[in-house]
Amino acid sequence: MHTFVQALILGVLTGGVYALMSTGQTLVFGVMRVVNVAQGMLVILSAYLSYTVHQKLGIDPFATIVIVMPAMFALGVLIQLAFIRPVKRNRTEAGFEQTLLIMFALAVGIEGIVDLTYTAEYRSITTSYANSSWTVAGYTFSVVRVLAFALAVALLAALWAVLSKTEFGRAVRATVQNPTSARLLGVDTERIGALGMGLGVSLAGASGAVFGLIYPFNANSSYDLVSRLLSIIVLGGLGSVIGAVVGSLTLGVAEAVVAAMISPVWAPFTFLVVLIVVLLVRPQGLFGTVERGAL
Amino acid sequence: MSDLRHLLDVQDLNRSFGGVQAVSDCSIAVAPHTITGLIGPNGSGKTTAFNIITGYLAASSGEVCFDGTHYARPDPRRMYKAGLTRTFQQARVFPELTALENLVVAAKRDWKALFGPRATAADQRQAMNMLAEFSLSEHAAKKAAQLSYGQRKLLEFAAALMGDPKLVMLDEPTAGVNPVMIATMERHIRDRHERGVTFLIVEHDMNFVMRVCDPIIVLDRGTPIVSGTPGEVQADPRVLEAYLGD
Amino acid sequence: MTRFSRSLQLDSWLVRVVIPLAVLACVPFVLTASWLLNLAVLGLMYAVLASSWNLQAGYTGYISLCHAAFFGIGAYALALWAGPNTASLSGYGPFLLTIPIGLAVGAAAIPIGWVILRTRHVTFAIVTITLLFVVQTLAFNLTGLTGGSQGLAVANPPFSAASFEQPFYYAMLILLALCVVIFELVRRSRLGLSLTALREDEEKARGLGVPTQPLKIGAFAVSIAITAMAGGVWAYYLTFIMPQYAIDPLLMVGTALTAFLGGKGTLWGPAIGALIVVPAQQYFAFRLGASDLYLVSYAAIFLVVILLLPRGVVPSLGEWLRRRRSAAAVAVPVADRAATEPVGVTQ
Repeated sequence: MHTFVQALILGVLTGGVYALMSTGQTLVFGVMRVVNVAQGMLVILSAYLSYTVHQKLGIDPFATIVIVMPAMFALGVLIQLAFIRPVKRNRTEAGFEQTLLIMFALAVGIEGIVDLTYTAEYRSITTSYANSSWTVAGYTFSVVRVLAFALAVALLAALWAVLSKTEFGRAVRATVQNPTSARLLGVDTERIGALGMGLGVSLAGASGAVFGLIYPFNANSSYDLVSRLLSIIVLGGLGSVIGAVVGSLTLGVAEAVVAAMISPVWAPFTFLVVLIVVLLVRPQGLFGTVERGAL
Repeated sequence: MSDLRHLLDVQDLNRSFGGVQAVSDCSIAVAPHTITGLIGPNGSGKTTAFNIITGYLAASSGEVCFDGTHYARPDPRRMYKAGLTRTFQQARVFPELTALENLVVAAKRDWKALFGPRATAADQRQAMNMLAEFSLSEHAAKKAAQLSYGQRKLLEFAAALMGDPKLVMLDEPTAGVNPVMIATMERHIRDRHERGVTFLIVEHDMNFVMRVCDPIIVLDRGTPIVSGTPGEVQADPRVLEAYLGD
Repeated sequence: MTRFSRSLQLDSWLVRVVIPLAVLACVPFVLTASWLLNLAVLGLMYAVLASSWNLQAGYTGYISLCHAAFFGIGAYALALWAGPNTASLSGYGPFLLTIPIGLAVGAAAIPIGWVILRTRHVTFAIVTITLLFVVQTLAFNLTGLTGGSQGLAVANPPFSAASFEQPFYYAMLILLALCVVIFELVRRSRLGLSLTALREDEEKARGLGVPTQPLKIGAFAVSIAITAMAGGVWAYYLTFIMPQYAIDPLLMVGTALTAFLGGKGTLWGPAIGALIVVPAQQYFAFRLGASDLYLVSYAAIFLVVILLLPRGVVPSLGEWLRRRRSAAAVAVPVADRAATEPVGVTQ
């Protein structure tokens, strides 16, 4: 029982970090109907950036977010302007496939750049408290993971506030629900697309710093991550922010429990099993809508 | 309880979209050999009902009974095989296929025919006859993308008839077409009706509906409020209120 | 003679299939240098991969990104079956083995397709990506079976050094022929008609009686089977396989790029794409070495191509020729078509 609860705790904490990564991804899909398969690589890139800033400036990894997030926001906007917007402007039916392959190619390209710059050596962001943990009621809470979770909660709460309270947030939600109607109501969906992408990638930026603290990484680490993130957004429902959060927590817990109760070897395949179940039972995901005839 | 006299009997459909109730306890019945009209102000749930009946959308509750068979969850292909087809408001055809091929693909063939020629002589004959009936023969080899909007609407109608359906559901057949085309549509509907096809038509053009349809069902906010002959519907104050009120 | 059957005469089996294949069959007698023939084998392999991928993506419109996983499965299957010792049947045994491997993998793809093709295009693409990475992880982790990151040795081909590449060239050519023949057969049958309708408007096709699910699953299975066979041949060619190369996302990107570049949904488009991509790839590898600069430039080229030639070489070329021949505009452009739709039509 103790093992189970411990796994539960770990799962929730990990789920929080996944939530940060996957909300960004599902947001990008919702706003632009683009499957950001590069999200995993962007997280790794942010991890490297955070690592470098931490090395050069000596500031705490959590503090590097102040630099990394805006940088990643800019990158997200840049990607949208350079690669996605021209494709969407053409409005050919191949648009979705093109953007998917473009993001795939970008992921590969970024991997190459990162590998060139940092070599294939595994890196890890270390701090004085990296290995310490708190013990509450007999259960261990890794300090890093708790802080990461707190960060995730804070950022997601901020995101929620932006989406529900600001005009920008309203415009984003309108675009997610129905781009055509949003456009008819005067929303500049192209601008929202760019900003939405920036937002989604900046969330990846925040999670990168955290990721680097928890796991050793190199350029190849994105593949594992991408599979998990994609499964999460399918589970949660493409485009649904709530879905991404719920999906992240669910998968985080599932993986941790499997690792603890069955075997760590099989833990990585938990998400595949969950994915298959979702596809069989509810293909649109927990919070997804079945859009008639739409992609 | 479903009435065996009805070709289509829809009971208590319910479906909402994020808080907006599109259809609510919606029951519609279509008697065989009629041209039944389905009208109502914008947002009254006509297209939603259409989509549920033909299997393009799932209802949260309710049942569809077509030609004596109950369908808990209709599926477009099953409905086609049972003899129910539909057209779309936007005149959906297959743009890269020729007009002829658009009809050939809609013909009822079993799976073995899939391994046969793209269009057998029998297919071509049947399709050319249909094209002739709709005065589209000269466009047979043209890609559907090259047809005008009105021509595509006719083509779509023709395709819906290829499988010898019992019930054809038309979604706004006169939307966006000129008066000459409206008259043509009317002619084809009446002609096919005489040959035994039942129609359920969603329409906004009141002149058309009153002229062609009997009975007429009126939906308001997802629920049927009135059902009767054109005269009865025109006289009923609830109908006017539905269109003007709120 | 109706216009319909007249158009079929112009593109006969002879012109569309037999002649190009015959030309390709002559290549080993022209390009006798070993390195050139090696390039040709690689080029043909990409042509096969892109063409078989095209059988699914081109005909159903569903973009699968897991084909590279089945390529790897085919490779490992051959490695395990043919064994690390001398190849049977004076070296031709492993080629024959690819047939049952293809059939088995194709059969396995049916239930997989049944599960994953229940979703719409986007979700399907996502699931296939996940599948790709999972299979790669499995290849690394199931060390008892696959040798893990150490890799696996394959049977040694006993062919002479002078004409080593030839059997492999012809093996790949046979696979390409298979793709091309299947494509043509489908195109000329009601299958092709139904698949095109499915690709254009799946819902509408379903409402007109087209059996969309079996068609999608069938296309997926056939496409996967041929990809697996190509993987088997490749494993035998290399004589040693490793997980990161057998199940390679880069290969997947390359396959999709080749098919897109040449023209997705056309008969020879993917092969023509391979004609461009493979030499370019080799050139970059030569100039930039096996370093990641090659990876970066590869991705860069891909991005440029996708942005500039969205429809691919073959369709763009075809359209350019058509426009030159006809005096008046024939096709109504998509933009115009949208303009003729009435205002207020809800989607």
